[in-house]
Amino acid sequence: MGYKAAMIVLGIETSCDETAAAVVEADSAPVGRLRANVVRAQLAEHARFGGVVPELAARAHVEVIDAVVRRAMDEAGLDFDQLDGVAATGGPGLIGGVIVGVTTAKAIALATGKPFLAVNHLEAHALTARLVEPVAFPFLLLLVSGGHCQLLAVEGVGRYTRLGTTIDDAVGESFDKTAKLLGLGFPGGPAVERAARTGDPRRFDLPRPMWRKPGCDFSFSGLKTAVRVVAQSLTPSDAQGIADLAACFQRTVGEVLADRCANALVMFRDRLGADAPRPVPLVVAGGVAANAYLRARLSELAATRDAVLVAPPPALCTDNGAMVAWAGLERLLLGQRDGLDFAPRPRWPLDESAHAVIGRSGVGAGVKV
Amino acid sequence: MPRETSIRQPRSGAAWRVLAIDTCFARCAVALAERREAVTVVASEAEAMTRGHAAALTPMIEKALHDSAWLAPDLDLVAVTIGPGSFTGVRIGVAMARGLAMTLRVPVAGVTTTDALFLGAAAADRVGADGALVAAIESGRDDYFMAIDGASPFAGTPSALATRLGDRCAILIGDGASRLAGALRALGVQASVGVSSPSIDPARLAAHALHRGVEFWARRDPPRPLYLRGADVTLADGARTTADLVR
Repeated sequence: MGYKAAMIVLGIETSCDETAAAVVEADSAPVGRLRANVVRAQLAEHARFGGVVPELAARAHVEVIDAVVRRAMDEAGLDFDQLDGVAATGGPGLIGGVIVGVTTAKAIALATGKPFLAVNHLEAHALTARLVEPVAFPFLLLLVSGGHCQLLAVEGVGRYTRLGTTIDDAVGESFDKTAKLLGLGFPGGPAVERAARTGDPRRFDLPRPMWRKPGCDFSFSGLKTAVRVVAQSLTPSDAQGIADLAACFQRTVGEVLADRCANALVMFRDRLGADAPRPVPLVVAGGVAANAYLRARLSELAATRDAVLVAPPPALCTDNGAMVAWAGLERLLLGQRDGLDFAPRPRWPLDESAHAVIGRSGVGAGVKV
Repeated sequence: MPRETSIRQPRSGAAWRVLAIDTCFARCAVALAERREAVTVVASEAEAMTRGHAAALTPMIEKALHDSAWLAPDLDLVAVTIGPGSFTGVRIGVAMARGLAMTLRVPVAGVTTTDALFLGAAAADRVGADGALVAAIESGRDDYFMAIDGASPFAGTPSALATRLGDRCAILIGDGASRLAGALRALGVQASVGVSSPSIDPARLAAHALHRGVEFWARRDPPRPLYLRGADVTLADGARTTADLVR
């Protein structure tokens, strides 16, 4: 018999447009080992519509989730009864897909008698850094994705305090919309980043919403409008103009994120007082955290503010099963598990005491087009 | 998916054991049955609900297993209704069945909801050659999901059904039976509501799956949901359309 880690957990992620499953193992947290990580994107299903179509996403998940899980188990070289737990994203997200992943995880848990864990998708992003690096609590988290844009003080598993959030669009959403305006395709994040490489980031002055305002809330809808106005002045064949605008947009986002994080670091230290670590770990997570330019920009900021940027590898920033498995494993190590009667949650804030800021505009976590 | 199912003999010994699941409509229902010489239903649970199947289904299966003193690994087969019906409900059933099948390495028996209704049809409703037995399911829209005399289901309006029926009279079963009967009569078709239960009986589904035999299902691909309708898509300009998976 070889060495057996204390915990081996399967994680399933189906809350948006990736069907994903992964296996992680660890004796303790932080830092675990990734045994398998299978991600099956649904790009062809949604690219033709320029955004994720919830019903199509759910249909695609249910067709392949078992094969994706089977492949992850095969790559890990494990049988189901060697697992210590089965985790799935239980929300927030596109509920049709979440239901497919949760039901599959419950089936495995029921068939094997292993604990089931319903993982908050945002918590999975929040804890991902601890899968790969020895980041201790507390830390400051910048969570930036297609559906979310928040700064949180993370003081432990399940202990999140929201310091700031977007009052309108998520930052990933603004990348997607910019890409659409510039005709760069879907998904927008990688497309804008690619176009920006050959652009002049100083050619256009775009507004920096919330810049230098107190607190650390975000706003991106004004920036989107400004990009639209400039884009309309460009001809579609003006490749350099498009690259310049992409670069200016990305620079502006970088400046806004850095400004907001600078304020959040002050708020974090005020909150933690003498318990604030030095340097403060500034953990970045979510799909937008895969952007190399933004990572570099945040790293510069951290260096000047007695903080250190911790960014998971890009493949673990975008949606994946490893982060779900890891969050499940962290909770399992604390003796937690969920009932097989768990009801999937389309909305599930990390900080349940924080009030909804964008509910009134009708923009919800459940719709990402 | 590769299948490594041993189907030569029952896992628990003398009897073939099946779990049947139906979550396609406003009910969550499961049954356990086994086949020795004959088929015996050992547990059956059903609860009316318009939503909440995703939360209710697994505990319901657990309870049925517990009440029967069966363990999940004793199962040789999982049977499930694959639609047409509620899109979300169909996916809950199919995801559960395929998830169990993957983990336990057993086949899945996928049965359409209209076939499942026909399985439960009372003898009195099985009319002669001049009449048709029609399974009618509310689709949530103006049309219905329907099937005639055990044939494949289709989505259609009452007049489309009338055309298919020709001069035959119709006995209707299923949750859309009474509304559709009225619509057919308005079109001049002789139609009446059958005496059969308007709901799918998971015990009938279980028995059907066992009668076909585990080997029969093992030769088939895992079932896919049957929607009979594309996904609703709202385009950037606000226009609406429907789409199916590309794949």
